[in-house]
Amino acid sequence: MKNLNLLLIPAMFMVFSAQAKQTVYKWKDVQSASQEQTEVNKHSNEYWQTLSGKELKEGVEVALTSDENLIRIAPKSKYENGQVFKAKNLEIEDIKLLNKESRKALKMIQKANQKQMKDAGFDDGSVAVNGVTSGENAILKTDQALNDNDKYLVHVKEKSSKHILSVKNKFKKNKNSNDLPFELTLGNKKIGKNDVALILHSPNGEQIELSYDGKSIQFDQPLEAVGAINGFYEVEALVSTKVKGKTVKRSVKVPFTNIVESANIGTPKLKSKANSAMVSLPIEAQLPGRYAVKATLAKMVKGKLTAMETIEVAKDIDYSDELELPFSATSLNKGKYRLINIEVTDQTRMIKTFPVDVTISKI
Amino acid sequence: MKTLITILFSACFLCSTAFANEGVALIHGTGKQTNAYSDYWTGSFVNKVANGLPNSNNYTVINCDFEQYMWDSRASGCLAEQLTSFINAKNISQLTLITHSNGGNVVRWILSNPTWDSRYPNIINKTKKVIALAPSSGGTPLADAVVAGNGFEKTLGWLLGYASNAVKMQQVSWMSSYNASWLHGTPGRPALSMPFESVIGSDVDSAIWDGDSYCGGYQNQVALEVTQNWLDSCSDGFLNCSSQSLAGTVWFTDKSKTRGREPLSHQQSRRDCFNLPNLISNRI
Repeated sequence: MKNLNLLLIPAMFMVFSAQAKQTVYKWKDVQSASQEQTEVNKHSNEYWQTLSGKELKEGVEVALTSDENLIRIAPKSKYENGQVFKAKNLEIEDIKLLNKESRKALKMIQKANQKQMKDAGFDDGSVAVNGVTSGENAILKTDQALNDNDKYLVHVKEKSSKHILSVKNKFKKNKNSNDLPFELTLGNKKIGKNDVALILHSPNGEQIELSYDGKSIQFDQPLEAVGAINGFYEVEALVSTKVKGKTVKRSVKVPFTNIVESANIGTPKLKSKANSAMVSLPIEAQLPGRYAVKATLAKMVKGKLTAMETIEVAKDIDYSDELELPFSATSLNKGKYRLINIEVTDQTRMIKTFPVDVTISKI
Repeated sequence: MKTLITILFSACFLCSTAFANEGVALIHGTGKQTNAYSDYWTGSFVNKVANGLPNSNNYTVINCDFEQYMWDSRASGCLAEQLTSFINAKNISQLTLITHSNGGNVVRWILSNPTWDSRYPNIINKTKKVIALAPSSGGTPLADAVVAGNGFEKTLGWLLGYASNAVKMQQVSWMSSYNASWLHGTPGRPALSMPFESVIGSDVDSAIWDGDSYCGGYQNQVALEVTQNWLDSCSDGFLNCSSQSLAGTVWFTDKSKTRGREPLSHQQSRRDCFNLPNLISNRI
């Protein structure tokens, strides 16, 4: 008897500690299958452009397609030798909008000076104007004595413009893949590789230029960050093209995520108990971390599946382990059962995968 | 026998309802708060809301770092810690969460990802409903404007904090992706397991002659008029109405219930303006 106790107590402790490490949640209602996000679709009626102080003093073309616009000009900061240098704040009285050819003044409405922008939260020395060009080609110019090498951001928002840039890109890129489908259109016009510059922004703030063949983005080297735990990767597209002889500029930024399949599940086994149905689900992690499995228990009756209950269980997994899904359904002795609508979440890296339904085997 | 069981069952149900200990937690929006009672909500707002409880002491005001991503331990982890402490200290059995702006996203993170943290299941099971004041469920174009094109931009600090992870997170396309994969309660996604009722701010009133423009601070109203340049005609100066109404259900759009049919700007939807706290008090 003593020997039996010696065997049982460690075994019970192991079971207890295995369960204690799990976080279990029983959903009130049966959960339907989640649809995996495959694409990002975004539209833009705006663009941004970085200019130098010299360019702003000499006058630089500003592409406007609608008189309902807001032009915000903001000093940028640069980082050199461990120090941040900020460009001079802008004086709205010195800003002019001129006809590109004749250099005659065009109508410009001062929308917000430095103080008004500051009150609105744009505490960066920026100003905002509205350019009324009536279709004429315009240049933006300042009489202010800016430093030649300082950088400024011009951000043009055209609310009612008919020139809308649309982007469609794949949301998930497998880490082993070198390309990302990426399509740009402006109205009916497809944007080719010569009309766009693409920049990749990594989750940690790095930026590199990307190459584009008009259909997909090509990556020269593997992307290191996987999952979305530190934010998404982003592609920034800066489009400049001609529509009926007039320059149209648009910018857009879209997210995507770089993924790996970091865990696989095995065949679940049903351990029936009096008032519960413990389903044991093997899981193997390629990368150690915390994993969650959400699954719905379903009964197969005459070829038809009936969903019964949804449970989610999470646990830290180093390599190989089993998750215990404590379904409360009763009378599970007869019939066939499956786990359906399975969702595996790598909570450490923020990656979701959706394995196919699996049949539960009985022990 | 059957009748006896029915009577006993009904009595038990009534007992449990009668002895439900209700509590309210007020959850701020983007930013790092250390005294949200005074700095974010104001005592007047908080106390009027708490008056709707059987025990008006059963409230807590959350102070967390919501400049982080919603899943960050300093954001949802901090919120889970403070809610758990409140539930345990006051023995709360039915909790109403009142969120403002990005606070609604942090709460939706907890409700949608129940095993992310071992404290989440108990919070979810205790939560009766969420009243989401101007929630940024669909993000805001202002976040895109802050992040776009400028790596060192420090803008919209009073609304968004400084180009923080929370700002990046609230870009429209980012929120769209979170809603599609990580958060519940938006169209086409699993429903939240309790009501998530939104209050929508639809306009900003900053007429200098109108006393109502001064509720929440006149300067802020003027400021929100500037930010409206980036937004739709229906917005509270920070969020489009479409973003505020994206998750859960709409409880009401400001003018349909506020005193004097006044709109609620993004600043006013967390202040004692136009009878808002009393409306909430009667709802919890």
